[in-house]
Amino acid sequence: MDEKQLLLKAQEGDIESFENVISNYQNYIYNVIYRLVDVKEDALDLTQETLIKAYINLKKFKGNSEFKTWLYRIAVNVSHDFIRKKKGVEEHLEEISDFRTPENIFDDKVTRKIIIDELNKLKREYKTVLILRDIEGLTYNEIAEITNTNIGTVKSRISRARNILKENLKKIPGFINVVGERGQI
Amino acid sequence: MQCSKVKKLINFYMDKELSKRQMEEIKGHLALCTECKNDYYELESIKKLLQDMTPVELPSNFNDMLHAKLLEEKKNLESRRSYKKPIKIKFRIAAAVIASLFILSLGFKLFENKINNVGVTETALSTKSAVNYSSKTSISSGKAASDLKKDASQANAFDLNRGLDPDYKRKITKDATISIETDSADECYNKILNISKQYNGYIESSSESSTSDNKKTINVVLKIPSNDFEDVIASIKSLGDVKTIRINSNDITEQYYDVESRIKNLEIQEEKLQELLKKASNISDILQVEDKLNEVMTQIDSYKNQIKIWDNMTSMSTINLTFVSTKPQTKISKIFSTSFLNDILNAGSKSLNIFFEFLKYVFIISIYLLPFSILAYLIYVGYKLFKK
Ligand SMILES: [Zn+2]
Repeated sequence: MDEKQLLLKAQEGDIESFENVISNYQNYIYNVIYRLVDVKEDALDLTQETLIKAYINLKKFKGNSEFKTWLYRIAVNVSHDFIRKKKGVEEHLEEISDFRTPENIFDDKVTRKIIIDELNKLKREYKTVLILRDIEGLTYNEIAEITNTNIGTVKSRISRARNILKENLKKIPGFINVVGERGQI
Repeated sequence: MQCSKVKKLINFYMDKELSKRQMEEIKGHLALCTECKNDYYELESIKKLLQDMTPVELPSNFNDMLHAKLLEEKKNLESRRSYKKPIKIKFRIAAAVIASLFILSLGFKLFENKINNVGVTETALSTKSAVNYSSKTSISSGKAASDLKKDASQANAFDLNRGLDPDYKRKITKDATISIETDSADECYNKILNISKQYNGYIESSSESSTSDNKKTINVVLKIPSNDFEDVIASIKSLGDVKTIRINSNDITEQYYDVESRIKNLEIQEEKLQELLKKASNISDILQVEDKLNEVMTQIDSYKNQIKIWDNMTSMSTINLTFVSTKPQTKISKIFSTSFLNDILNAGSKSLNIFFEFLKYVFIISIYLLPFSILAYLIYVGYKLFKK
């Protein structure tokens, strides 16, 4: 059975068909949510919330877009709602300056940690497009649909987000040099 | 191309989201301009870092947790949908109207019977109701058969999806509540002992009580192999005057095999964890794996318990029996009972009979309505398709 047929069955409430379809996407969804909220436990809860919302609202999915895009859209909305509610309750910024010595920057783990921290400091819209484009590898069109904007907006956000991220990373001593050298290899 | 324009387009150049001409132009510029080239390398290396971010994996119990939640939601959805559908509500109203009409007519019948002498009509009614009961049970078994057919077509998909044994059996629990009036409750009790021996059943519990007018009542909970359920019910019916009988059957096939396949999955997980535990060398790894292993094993245990309970329920059926002696043990109360208490008893059994009569009519009416409701449903579906 292909996805369309499974989705039709799922729309009638068939749980197995639904599980069959989402099995292809649930890990991607989990990843996006995890990058957005940055806490695994929260990401797990929100992934479940996303998939249940998808199941409940499946009748509203008309097949105009791809099911994958539709799922991503729910995931992004759920995560943004979560971040909005969480904001103000706790503002957690881990102190990472201790790691920022050039010799440590060669460590892959530290490099990743720095980049994720800088990513998390970006405005929500910027962070979202970078996660969808660079981590998840989605197309501009898909991102426009998922974030409910147009391609023009997506383009300008991607461009600005990358430039801001680059400038912030450059402020960290030695960081961009090391990374830059790697990029050229 | 100027540097400022390249800066604007550089990110789309990186994503290859530009026209061929623009791509060529920027490529040309980057070959010449070191500032833009450096810019580009920086951006590209950050993009690569993001791309190489190790993806996280959902934990292995995620699907089980989600499945449970989905089952819950499905229930909620179904109850909500049945409220929403206007057609169904209309049917409900129609059914209510018809039902009230029948209550009225039955009321008349009751009145009529009261005017008649009760003695003869009463026995007539009780045999009638006995027929009722048997037809009711045969209907329900018929329904089970059609369910079985319907599910048989789904069974293939079901098997493939869940890796079930191809020769799986439907899991149905059965129970009955029967109350019987007899000349001697003790005699009946002895006969029940024989029946339970004959069919390899057993008495789970029994109790005795006497009413103020010295009538003896015996309650028995009888367990009998499910395969012999119908036979046993038939022989119990012949023990005396059946006053009430209620037979329930509950199909738990889906839940049963669902839990069974969960156990299988968990056992695979357990195996993998055991292997991991053998390989694990540092203490924090070992502790983590052991934690997970514990979790999995507890889950398996609780599922297995559930299966055990269900196995008991499906292999042995429960029959709740009540025997009421009609003959009191002393003569004084006999005079009293024949004149007054019997009437009360008769009234009670009569109202029960009327009730079952009523149920029968409701059933017949719903059969009458069935073709119309199917037709209406088809029109509704057709209309929906047409609208699409
Ligand atoms: Zn330039």
